[in-house]
Amino acid sequence: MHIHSRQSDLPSDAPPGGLVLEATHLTFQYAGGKTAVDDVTVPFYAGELAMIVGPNGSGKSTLLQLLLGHLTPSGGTITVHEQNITDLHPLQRAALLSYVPQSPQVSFAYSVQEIVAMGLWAHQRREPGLSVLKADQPMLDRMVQAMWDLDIHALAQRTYDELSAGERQRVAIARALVQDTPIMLLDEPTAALDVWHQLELLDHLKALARDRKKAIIWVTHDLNHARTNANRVLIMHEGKLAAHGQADQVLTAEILEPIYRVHVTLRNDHLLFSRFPGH
Amino acid sequence: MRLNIIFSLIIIGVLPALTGCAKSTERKPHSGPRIVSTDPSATQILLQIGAAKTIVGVSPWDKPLLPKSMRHLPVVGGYLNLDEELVLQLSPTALILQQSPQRIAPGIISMTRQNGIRLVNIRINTFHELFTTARTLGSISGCQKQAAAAITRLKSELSILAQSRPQKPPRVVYIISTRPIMVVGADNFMDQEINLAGGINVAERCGDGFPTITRETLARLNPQVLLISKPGERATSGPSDPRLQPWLKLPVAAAVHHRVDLITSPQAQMLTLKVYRLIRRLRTIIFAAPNAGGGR
Amino acid sequence: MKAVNPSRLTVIALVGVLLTALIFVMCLACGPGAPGQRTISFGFPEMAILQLRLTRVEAAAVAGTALGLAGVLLQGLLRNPLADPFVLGISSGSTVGVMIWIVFGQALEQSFTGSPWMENLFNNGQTIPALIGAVVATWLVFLLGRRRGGMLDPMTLILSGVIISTIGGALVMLLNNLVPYGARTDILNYMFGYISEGTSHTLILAACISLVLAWTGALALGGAMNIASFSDAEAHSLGIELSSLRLSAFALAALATAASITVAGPIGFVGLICPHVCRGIFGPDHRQLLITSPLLAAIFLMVSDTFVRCTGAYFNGELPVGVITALCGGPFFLYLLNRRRTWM
Repeated sequence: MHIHSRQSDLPSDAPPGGLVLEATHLTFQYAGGKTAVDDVTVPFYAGELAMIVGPNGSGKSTLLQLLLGHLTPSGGTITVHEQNITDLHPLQRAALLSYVPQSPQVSFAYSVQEIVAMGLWAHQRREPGLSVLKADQPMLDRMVQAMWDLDIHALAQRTYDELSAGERQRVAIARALVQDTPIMLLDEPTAALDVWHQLELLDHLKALARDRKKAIIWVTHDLNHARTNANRVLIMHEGKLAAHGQADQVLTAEILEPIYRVHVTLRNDHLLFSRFPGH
Repeated sequence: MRLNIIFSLIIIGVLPALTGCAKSTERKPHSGPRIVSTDPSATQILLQIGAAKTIVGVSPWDKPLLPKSMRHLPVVGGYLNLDEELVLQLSPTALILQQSPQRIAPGIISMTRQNGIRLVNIRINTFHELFTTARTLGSISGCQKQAAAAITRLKSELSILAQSRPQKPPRVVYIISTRPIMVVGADNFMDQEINLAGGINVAERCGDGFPTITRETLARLNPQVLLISKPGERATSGPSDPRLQPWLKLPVAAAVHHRVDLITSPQAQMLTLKVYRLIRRLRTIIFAAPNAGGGR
Repeated sequence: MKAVNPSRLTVIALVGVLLTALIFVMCLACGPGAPGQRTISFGFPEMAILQLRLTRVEAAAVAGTALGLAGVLLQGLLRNPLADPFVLGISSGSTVGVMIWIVFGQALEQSFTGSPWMENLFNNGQTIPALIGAVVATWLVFLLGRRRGGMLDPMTLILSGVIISTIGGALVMLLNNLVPYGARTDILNYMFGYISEGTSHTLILAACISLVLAWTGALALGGAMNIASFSDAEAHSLGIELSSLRLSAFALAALATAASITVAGPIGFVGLICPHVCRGIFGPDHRQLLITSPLLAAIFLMVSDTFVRCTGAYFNGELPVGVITALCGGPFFLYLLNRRRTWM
């Protein structure tokens, strides 16, 4: 099976804004020997909403954690703001990249407010003269704003263990927003959200990309969601970057069918999936 | 899991059989009394009444106390972990225990009953019980005469001690375990020993048996002589002995006058027919001239 | 961040220290009644006896503080509210040390007689071997608990601790059969922990210094430890250098535990329960827990130990202090657990 790579046709209408993050020949092997990410080279630009799709186990989440600098690549490099990510101190990294995991984990019963405030850690540590214990006014404002944006301001005093899965996910997103980084990495952030909150989040992140020139890198399973909203789509398959480019160019039956092993048709600008006969 | 149990059963079954094979060669014909003793005091008393040859099995506590010629005797365990199979292989006529009667394991009772072994449960907490026990041990070992003679001798020795009891008895505290501090209290043979040696056991007030006390209570008892039992350890090398140092710092008269001493006799915490020697030693220590300062 | 600001932290610390000092003095004033009498005396005794009490209450305060500190550090490090200073095999390590000392030490002691320094060492009895055992066990757990690029992994660390504890327990039983029979009561007493008026002042001072070092170091970790309670990737993304944080927390917890073992042996339950109680009262913020839990633990252990010290006459001799910490702490713990369903 040969998957045609479309690396050559980079978006002609590439979003304004420079290169902020770039993976070059990125490879990652787990200790067991399984290659999760295999020779991936891909740039990310300021002001774009890039979505990563791919079947289960195709290496999407691993790629995200590599871009975050949490996992150390077995080969290749990641350049963020023209610096090698491994040369950066975690505090410097936290000022450039924020991250929302698939299912956030908190081991102790912190309140929503406390968790969101922890997004400020890197800022408080970096800026001289600012007490670790006390946030200054602009930061407090940013916190309050993030909690309004994610519709969790009413939960501020609740403890994390009392929250529903969707509320927990929104808390984690608010924490990332408070971090106010030029690059945001989100791993299926809408998986537990209801439709209203999904749309809210989408609008908010789109606005951040458009108005504040943030690079938003979003892992999702929803191909139609990616097709409708992403500036650029990356398709991962068996650790490799199978295709990337504008949504309508890469989310086609020709590319998707061998990867997902389903029959793909496009109807009313909407992808429809069905099983191949005989399966 | 089941495999584990089967393996354990095999091992439990095989080990005693192996040891049994080794032992079977030295098994003697059933002539005269054969005694298994699980109590060190009883073993010592048997030795003292000349019944050494009747002992065929001992407890682990006995090992260091036995004469070299008897160290090869099989160890049958103590009253908590008695190796019943080994006991049976030794085909004893009597099994000696020291335990409160209701606590004896039913298995031991039925084992002795089925095999015609006499179960002798002794109790040696006072001198009176010592005499009763010595008589019992004499009768089961066939050494009644020697037992009676030893009892008579000890009684006369004790009466000499009682008659020569000094006029001004010093206050004594006798520590038998140091962490936490356990002392000789009222109503036991070590209390009687202190009195026979000529001292007053001021810790009698703290309770019967062997009560635990704090250093503060010890300071309030303010003994003039402080004895510390360390059975089997090396004898003290004098006032600079490191084992004495913590006690010499206590705010008690005994420490001020350097009247702290170690009792290192291996049998210091046992009562046997040779207790006279131990009491003589205690008297020497209690009435010794203080290492420093004036006094007696 | 309404919950924590510097002034609130300062107030909590000040009130805590004052309360601890007050209870310290009250513990000094309590003592057993006259020998043989079932009474408890209150008031300050003559100097000589006051000094005995002072040593013991000091030892309890130092051991308690250290246990409370180690408890917070380890529960945070392992992200596990059931962790305590002894889950990492430290307790069984120290017991093995003492066992080895009892089996082989006496021969050694005799060969060193005459050297005053060595005699002083042996005079302090089981402390040094206990400490060596604890350090060896901790080191093994540390080596086994590392994964990928040398970072400590909470789950691996707990498993290694359990394994080292089990091996330690087996070694104790093995050595127990080699010990001269008379020494067996010693080991039983050691395993329960025991605070003594006879504790050497050098040891208390040494423990105190280790404690101050560990506590100072730990106070700097509070904020980072809060964030380390997220998943590794999240903590990383927020700017935490996890490998060095875990290494520091582990080392500081080991240092604090060593301090408590030095003066009191392995006393259970204090290090487990005090962080919990403080979390229930003040919330899970580690910057507060690192102040409140050690102080609460100091108070708890001082009061428990004073209780056993004064009530020997009622219980046919002094109870092991671990009995009281478990009996008083256990029900209170259950009450808190019931009041608040989830303890994440």
